[in-house]
Amino acid sequence: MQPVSYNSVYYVEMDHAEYPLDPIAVRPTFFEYRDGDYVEKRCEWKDTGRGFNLYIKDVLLDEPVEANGQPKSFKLIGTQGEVVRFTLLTNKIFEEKVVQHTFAQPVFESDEELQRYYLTKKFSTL
Amino acid sequence: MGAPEFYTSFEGDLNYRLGMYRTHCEDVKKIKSEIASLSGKITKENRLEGTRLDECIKKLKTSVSELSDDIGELKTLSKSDQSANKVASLLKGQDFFSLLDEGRSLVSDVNHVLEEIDLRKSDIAMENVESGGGQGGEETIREIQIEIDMLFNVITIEPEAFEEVAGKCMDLISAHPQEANTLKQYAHRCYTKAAHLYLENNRTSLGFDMLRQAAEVGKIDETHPLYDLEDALDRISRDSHRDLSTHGVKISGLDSGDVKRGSLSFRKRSVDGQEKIQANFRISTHTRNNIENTLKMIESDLNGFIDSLPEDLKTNIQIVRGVPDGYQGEVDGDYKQDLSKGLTIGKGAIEIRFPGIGKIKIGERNGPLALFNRVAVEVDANQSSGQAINRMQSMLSSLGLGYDMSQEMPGELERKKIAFLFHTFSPREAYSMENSQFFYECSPDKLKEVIEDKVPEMKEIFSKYLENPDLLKMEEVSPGYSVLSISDLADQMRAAGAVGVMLGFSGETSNLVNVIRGGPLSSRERFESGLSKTVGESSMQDHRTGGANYVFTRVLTRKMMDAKRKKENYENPDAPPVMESACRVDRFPYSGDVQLLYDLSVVNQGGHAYESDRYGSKQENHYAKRSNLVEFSKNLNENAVSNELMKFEGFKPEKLQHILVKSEFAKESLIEDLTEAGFVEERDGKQYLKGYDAKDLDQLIITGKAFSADMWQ
Repeated sequence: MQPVSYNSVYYVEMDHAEYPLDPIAVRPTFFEYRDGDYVEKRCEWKDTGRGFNLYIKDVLLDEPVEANGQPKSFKLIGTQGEVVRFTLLTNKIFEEKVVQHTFAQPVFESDEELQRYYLTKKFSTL
Repeated sequence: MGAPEFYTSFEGDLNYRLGMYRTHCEDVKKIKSEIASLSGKITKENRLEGTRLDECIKKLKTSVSELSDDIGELKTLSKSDQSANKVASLLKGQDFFSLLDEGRSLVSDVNHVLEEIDLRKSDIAMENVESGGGQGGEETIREIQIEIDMLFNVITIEPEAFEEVAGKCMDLISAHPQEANTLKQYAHRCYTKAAHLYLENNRTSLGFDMLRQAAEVGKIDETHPLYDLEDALDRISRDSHRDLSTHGVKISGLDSGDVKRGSLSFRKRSVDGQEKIQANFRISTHTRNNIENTLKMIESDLNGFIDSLPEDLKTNIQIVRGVPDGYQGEVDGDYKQDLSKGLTIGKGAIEIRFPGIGKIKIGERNGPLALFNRVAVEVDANQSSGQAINRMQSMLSSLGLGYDMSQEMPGELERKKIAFLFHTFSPREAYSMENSQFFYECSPDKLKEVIEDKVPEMKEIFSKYLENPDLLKMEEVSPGYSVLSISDLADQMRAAGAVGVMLGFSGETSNLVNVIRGGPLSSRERFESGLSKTVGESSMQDHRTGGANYVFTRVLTRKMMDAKRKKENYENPDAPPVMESACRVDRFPYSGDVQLLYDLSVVNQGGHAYESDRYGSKQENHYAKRSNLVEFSKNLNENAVSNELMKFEGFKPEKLQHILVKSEFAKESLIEDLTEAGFVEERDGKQYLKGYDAKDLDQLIITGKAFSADMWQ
């Protein structure tokens, strides 16, 4: 099965996390691997560093997906019971919760500029 | 140990075992008698006998262990009635059990002897504390070294003992000027230890006096390779092709034992418009804990502390807590002190400012695991010969930190080897000891002995690697920077099923070229460079777990590559099944746009690993339970695609076997990108990456959607 991506940038939080996740999730992508009865489902996203991967049981959409196919918010339920919440990253959320955790604390004029920056910037993983 | 295989008969086996038993009984008796003679001679004035005694004790322990094995084997041989009769007939009437009694009683006696010797050694250490040690000027450097080892080995808690020995070291310098540096190192170590002990007991003024003595004795002279610090850094930077303001240079072979990996990074950069030299390094957990108490005592009497300092350090010192910690950012070649253009990770660092001299920043004790033990020292650049390095060292010494800028002390490499082997082959058992003070302070011989007692399997490992220098040696990573490497670690992992390591890469083409030429960087190293290309990047998680200090790799095994799965056929589900490799690239998390396939030997310099993603955790609940790299390789099943192996460095260009991309189209696009960016040159009709000659691009870049073993050949 071909991987499926949400082509957006999200603010991401994990409930009861052992340590905080990096707050930016770029283009969450869903992978599925099957071998007979064995099924492996996972969601991986770029987080401006190495990235994050979660083996998942379920994806819960909070509201119907918009015409562009990108949900505004959704939840992942991990195979170990983890709950990870995604909210479309807006400039307001960025300034309130994210910017202080970023290198050089960039300023964006609009939600679109912020989304475009993180979708096109090629952060190195190594 | 069983009898050799050529003893196929019961009688042959028994005779062999009885022979060994008698030989070992004789050995034990002989060594025991030698020990009795030496034991009476060891006094505080005669320490050399002490080292001979230690050697005898080691031999005795080996012989006793062999004798115990013999007794066990003989008992097993005579277990059944039938074999007991055969034994009786072979012994021609001698009582078998009485025969074994001699061995049993020897084993028991030896245990008493060893206990007595331990007590005697402790008494001698105490006598030394009370009487002030040996014969002053008549002592030799070797004797002083033994005296220091004994003080540290028995965990002496009397600061006077260390102060006394430090004084003796200084007294010996005039008689042994050629050994001045070694004697100063010993003295520095003892003054620093005495300072910690005085301050722990609230004897503040004595503690401050010891810190002053450490700062004075810690002066570095022109024989030190970094005496002209800036010139040396410029030279090393040129030789290693590393920019001094961004990535800086790493230097090993310094420190007195408490700097992690024995390596320090140096940078020279403009900070708020002023040229500075910065050194940063990480210290052992016990040193980080010690500094906490020392700083509290200094804060409680700051004026007293300043008054006690040597003249060249007397300044209006400020200790500021709650300072933002993280990385400086750069704007037009100038770095900003306040981190506003960089990255703030925590807000609890401590900064100790010595106005007009420099400053030291220490990470928050309970802060992110990647920063809690990080020490950053900064002084002005453009100083006269010897001044910059001496200012750095004086500040560190005055706070009770180690002799971190000095050259390695005699015996330090041996300790590092012992610690590295223990850490690599027995990580679970090593964890608790590695965080203890004793681990860093006792002599290498004692450390080895304690480890062998705790983990008997380490005996064989020490014997294999410490007696064969080719199997465990320093390997140069870049000019001035070497690390220990175990020559056959990758071979052992291969025997356990590992094939190679893979790193997924996504990012700019220029970064890919840097990775190929100079190796990948950990996220901490990328941030330390302060380059603005990381604007907007966040790194909370890896700093919290401690993973930010490492480069992440995945290990691929034969089990993974041999696994097949039924190929999906959505159009015709009833068609006969077609099998394909289950080791698909896209199954591996973070496999990125391209995959860098490195030879397994990159792991020879060690690392830590988990069978599933733990984000490189250094937290006790994961780190203290990890397997060694060989067990880890054996445990990886065919679905362990999210395993991780964390490493510091060692990704030399020649170790890169291939770059894997998913299709011919992707390969052509990558070569086109590299060419457009000016990284490609043509030679003999072939395209090469500039600065990388190991393979031409057509050989280097391969295509495939699944990993196979031939990709690492």
